[in-house]
Amino acid sequence: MKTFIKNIFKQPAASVQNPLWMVCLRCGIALISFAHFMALQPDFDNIFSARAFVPPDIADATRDFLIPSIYSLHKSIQGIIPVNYETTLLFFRILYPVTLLALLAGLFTRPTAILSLALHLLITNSMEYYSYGVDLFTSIALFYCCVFPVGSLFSLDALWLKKRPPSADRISKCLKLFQIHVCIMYFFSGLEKLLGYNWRNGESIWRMLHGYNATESINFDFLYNTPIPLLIGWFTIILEMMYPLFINIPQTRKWWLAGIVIFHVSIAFFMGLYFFSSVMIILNLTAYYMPFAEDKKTVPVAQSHAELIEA
Amino acid sequence: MRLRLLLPAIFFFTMKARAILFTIWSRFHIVFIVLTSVYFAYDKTCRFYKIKEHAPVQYFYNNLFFNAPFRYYGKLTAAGSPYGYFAPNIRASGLIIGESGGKKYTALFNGFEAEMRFSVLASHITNNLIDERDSPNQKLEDRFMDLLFKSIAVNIYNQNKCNQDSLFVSYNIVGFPTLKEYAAGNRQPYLIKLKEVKLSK
Repeated sequence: MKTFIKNIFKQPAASVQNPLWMVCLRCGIALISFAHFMALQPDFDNIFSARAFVPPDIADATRDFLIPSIYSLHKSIQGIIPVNYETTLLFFRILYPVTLLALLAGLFTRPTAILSLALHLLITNSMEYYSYGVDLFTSIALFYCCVFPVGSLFSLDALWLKKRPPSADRISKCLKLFQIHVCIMYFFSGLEKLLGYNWRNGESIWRMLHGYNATESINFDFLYNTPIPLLIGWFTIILEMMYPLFINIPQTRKWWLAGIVIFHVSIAFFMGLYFFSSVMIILNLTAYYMPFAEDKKTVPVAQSHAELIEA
Repeated sequence: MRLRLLLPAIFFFTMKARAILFTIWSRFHIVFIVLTSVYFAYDKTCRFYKIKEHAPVQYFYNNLFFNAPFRYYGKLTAAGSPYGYFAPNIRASGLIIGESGGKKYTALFNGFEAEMRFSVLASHITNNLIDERDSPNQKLEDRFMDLLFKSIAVNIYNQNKCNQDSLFVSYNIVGFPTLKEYAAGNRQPYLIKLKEVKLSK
């Protein structure tokens, strides 16, 4: 029985896994975060400036005090450097996309990843009332960019600093941690839906299609007489809760991955959560598509610590 | 000769120590994520079904798990947050509407992302108005919300260049009949006004 289960979940050996997943994580999250931040630029003042819908001093009163906000940082440095709030804001408005571009290029990858995460948390904390799922998943991805050796391949660091490639063993351990995190995320997301009866009777899907419908031109009223809301509700629960199981079985992996990608594309299309869906697709491709992609002829990876010493 | 042997040995042990540290930390990280997720699933379910949480569970999480340094750890690594979006239930969306001189106004934006974020803000506020609260700082929180409402009202007034001397801003829930209600013939969406504030020049 033990061998049977082992065989089902059998993963390719560490040396056979394609390390390009780290490039996918680094470039994917840097690019999407950059695009996401740029998408906010036309209305930046409405959200962050002193004339914003929620002015920074009001927002600051209830923010999470574990992490500073732009406003609180501004207040702290004002005694040392006499700058106005708009100048401080402009500084962060420029610095964040620049660090994301540096991360994308893999320039001083670890420091830029740490800086990107810090700035992302700072900015998110400054607009706590406006933050939603995408901000959390971006934080998760940026955090793993800080921890994993994501700058060791296809980066300026590798090109200029001649960084030694990480061992296959290390890459494999990082991948395992990342995969487990993604599995936990989906399992609990599915479980929480299962615990509420509205996902089990199709009511949540019905409400989503009417209250959060981004495609105003499509009328979903005809669905009331069909079992479609009920089926989509159960499909979502099963897809998410069974994710840790079926995504780890090599025979079902590509089908489950395709299912979850379609699920996120649907969220983007029907609910208008484009950036959220993009981040989730990147997390999925990083965890379960790229490591198993076959082409690895251009990727140099040391096999073990011993081989690194030999090198 | 000795140096040639020593350097690879130091390198090997440093790598080994790093690998061991990474393994220990990653196990802790996974346990942390699981425990946080378990609690949030439990907490959300209790809130949804209006059940009182078990005191020992609440004590464990509030006094131990959600306290520094774990709270810092959870915030900085993004491992201390729930993942169940739109669960256990999709709540009705919130809508902020301004009204002046018989005309209706909304907040104006140039991009879809800011519009999306503003709808998140509206939902935050409406949730705050709907949720039953037993906070000891209730009065203070209400005053804060009033301040927030007025700030939004001022912006809607200025953005839309209203000519009137006053503007009413209301916080509404956008309702839609349930599947059963719809099948029974009740097919009109509706707005429930939760709060209204008046802004005068």
